[in-house]
Amino acid sequence: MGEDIPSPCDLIVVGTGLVESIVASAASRIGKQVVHLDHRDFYGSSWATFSFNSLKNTLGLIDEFKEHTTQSQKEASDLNISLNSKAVCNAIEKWFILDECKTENDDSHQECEASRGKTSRITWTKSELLKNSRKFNFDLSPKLLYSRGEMVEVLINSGICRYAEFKNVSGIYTFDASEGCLLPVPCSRADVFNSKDISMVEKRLLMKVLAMCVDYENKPEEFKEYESGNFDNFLNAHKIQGKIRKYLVDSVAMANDSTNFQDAVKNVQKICAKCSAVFGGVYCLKRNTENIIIGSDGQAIGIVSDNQKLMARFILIEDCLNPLAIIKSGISRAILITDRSITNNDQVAIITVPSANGKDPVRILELSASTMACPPGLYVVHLITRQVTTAVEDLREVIDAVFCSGEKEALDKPNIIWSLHFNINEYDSPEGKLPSNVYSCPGPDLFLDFDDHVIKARNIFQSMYPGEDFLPKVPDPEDVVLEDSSEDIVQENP
Amino acid sequence: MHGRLKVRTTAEQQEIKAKERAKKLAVYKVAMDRIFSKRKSGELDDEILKITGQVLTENPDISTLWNIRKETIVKIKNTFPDLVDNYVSKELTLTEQCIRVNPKSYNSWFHRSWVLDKGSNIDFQAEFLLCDKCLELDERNFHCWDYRRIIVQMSKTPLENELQFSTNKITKNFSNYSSWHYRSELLPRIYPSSSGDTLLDDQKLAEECNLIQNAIFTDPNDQSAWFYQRWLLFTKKESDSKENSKNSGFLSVLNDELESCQQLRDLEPNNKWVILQVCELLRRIDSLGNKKEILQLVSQLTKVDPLRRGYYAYLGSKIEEEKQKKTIPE
Repeated sequence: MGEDIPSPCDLIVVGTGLVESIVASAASRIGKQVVHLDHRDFYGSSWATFSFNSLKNTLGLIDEFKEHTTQSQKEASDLNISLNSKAVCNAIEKWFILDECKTENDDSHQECEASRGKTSRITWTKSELLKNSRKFNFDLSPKLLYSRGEMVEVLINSGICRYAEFKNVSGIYTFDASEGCLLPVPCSRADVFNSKDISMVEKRLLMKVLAMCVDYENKPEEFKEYESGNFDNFLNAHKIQGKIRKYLVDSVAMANDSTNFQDAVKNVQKICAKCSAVFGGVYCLKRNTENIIIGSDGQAIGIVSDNQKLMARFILIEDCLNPLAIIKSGISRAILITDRSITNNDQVAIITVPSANGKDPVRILELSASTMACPPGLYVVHLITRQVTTAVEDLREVIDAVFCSGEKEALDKPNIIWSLHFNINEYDSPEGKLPSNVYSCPGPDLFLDFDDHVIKARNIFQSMYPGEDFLPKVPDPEDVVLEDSSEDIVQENP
Repeated sequence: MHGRLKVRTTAEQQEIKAKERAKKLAVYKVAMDRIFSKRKSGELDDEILKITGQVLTENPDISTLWNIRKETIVKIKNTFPDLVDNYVSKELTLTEQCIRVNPKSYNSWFHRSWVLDKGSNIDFQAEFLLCDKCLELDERNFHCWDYRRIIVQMSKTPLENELQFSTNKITKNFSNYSSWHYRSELLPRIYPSSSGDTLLDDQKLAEECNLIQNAIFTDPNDQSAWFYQRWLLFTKKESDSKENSKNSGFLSVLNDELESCQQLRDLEPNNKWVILQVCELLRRIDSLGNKKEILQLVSQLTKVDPLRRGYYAYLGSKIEEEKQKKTIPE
């Protein structure tokens, strides 16, 4: 495939993360020749989704990635791309179950099962799990699609939504550490109406504030006096106290209406890539990029990839590959496989665990088998928070509070069967250091939505191609005619 | 570069559509001619069912064709009563198809209910499933609600089940006249009141009042909630008694409701529904004693909701007239 890469082309994209993939699609869409490369053997970079086995393989690969040692044609002015950057790092895996099944004549085990009243529970073993590897879909960076968010436009206009299935978030909760239990957060009309937790007056006050926020763009004058202050002032002015204040601040200050995109989150980058390919992009995995070639005027003129020179007008790189980027912060992540839902809600739940001592909250995303994240009977739980030390340390308290890990099984807490902790680095790309035709694209962040990334992609696109349409709506396939395969030919041949 | 994409222009699209329409019209004409000629010669048979079926699938709103089918079914019932069930199930299939195409077709729903009557072994489970599905797609489809009432009656389903259904619908979305209305029809039959004053038994009334208050506080702009509350509190049972027994128990209910309405009014001073309800409550508690306050509210209403000032003027004049009368005309 190496010989087929066109050079010169309009745009070279190094890395297949979300931002660079969106820009690649948008560029292809307006007819630019795009070459999209990734040194890995999978699409998606830090956003990718894996089956059980491929996750372990990939993380193993990242840890052992060797620096490229072959002699590359490098000029003094060229920028060396740091290929051994590990955006995803510190991966620690732990099993909580035995390799083999407990034998049938283990009476104590059977009594235990009966007393829990779940006589038909499958006892999972390591080998069973690994056999079902393909039924797992683990996201490195799970995200939510807000129905009023930026990403929805992108999905509709690019036609990607035709290939995707969506699942609604069925419940939003906050974890009350003092009571050790989950409290459902009422944030839709139906939730508020049905809630037994809050008084009539509280319902009215809460709905009022929610409605105001939803209508924000249409009635900016209502917010004028609060805009320069903080959220607290706004809440005080609207008499939001106590329970409803907790709900609003901890869990709802995100959004009211969330559409969860779990069924297809693994496909977003792949599908973005597909869209680009349809309109003429060229895709290569397992293709290293060694250097960015800088011309005499300080602008980039191309890259050296697998010792081949590829010329282009613009270059995009993932920020983790940007030689001038520095690590500014990190995300602590954990992925758990559990045997029971934290809520009694069998779909997708978001749980916020607010922190007492001013630290960042921990967000938990629980996915049931109906989201295709795992085989039936199991649950995949994602935990996300800001990195302070390591993922294991940062998430220990919350995991211990909510789950049961270990020998003594608690009756009410879900048991962890397997866990994986890791960190994802967040990079800062210093302004003005890269040539103006080279753009660095950010990787995933702490937030549960895509908005910032879509905006960044749009900004990069508009900087490269001012005045052009960003992902205009794709025509209906029925209205598309291939010029060659004309209808006349069909008529002539009976 | 060959194989380039070209997008059809609007003119081309329109031309294609016009051609398709012309084709359809020709087919339709042929079919209708055949149907009417057969009917004229009394051939109400399988073929006429087949052709009317084809036309109705495209356009379910041709009443004449449905009636021809009815004639055919009646004929079969009279001549071959054992075969009727077979034909009934075909009618059910056809009406279901037509309902998918147009869920608001009077003809399809009516034909379906007509046909149910003719069969002897109807699977009501399937009928309820159809209703559930249609209501999920559109919870205000009155055809479907009416149909549901019919099958409830025919299948002698216990009303408690239907009350649960109404509760489920309201839990999902309380902004729905039809669900509340359904509820208002069921409740007096399941929980009739023992006293002469109210429609519902006291405990159930209290529960419903609480339920509807939740709706009102969650969204005071939702009409359906207010109308349900009016029904709960203001509907009088038919009674010949000249004396309006001002049941003290009911009076306290009214006073409680007044209190929470006033609470809501503090939070939403310009909401016409709240003001109107306070008005109506004051009237029923003590029309004469509260007259001054009521009239003040009425004038406030006229300012807050000028579109309906005619109604408020009428309301005002009625209140002026009310003297020592104990019964409130509605």
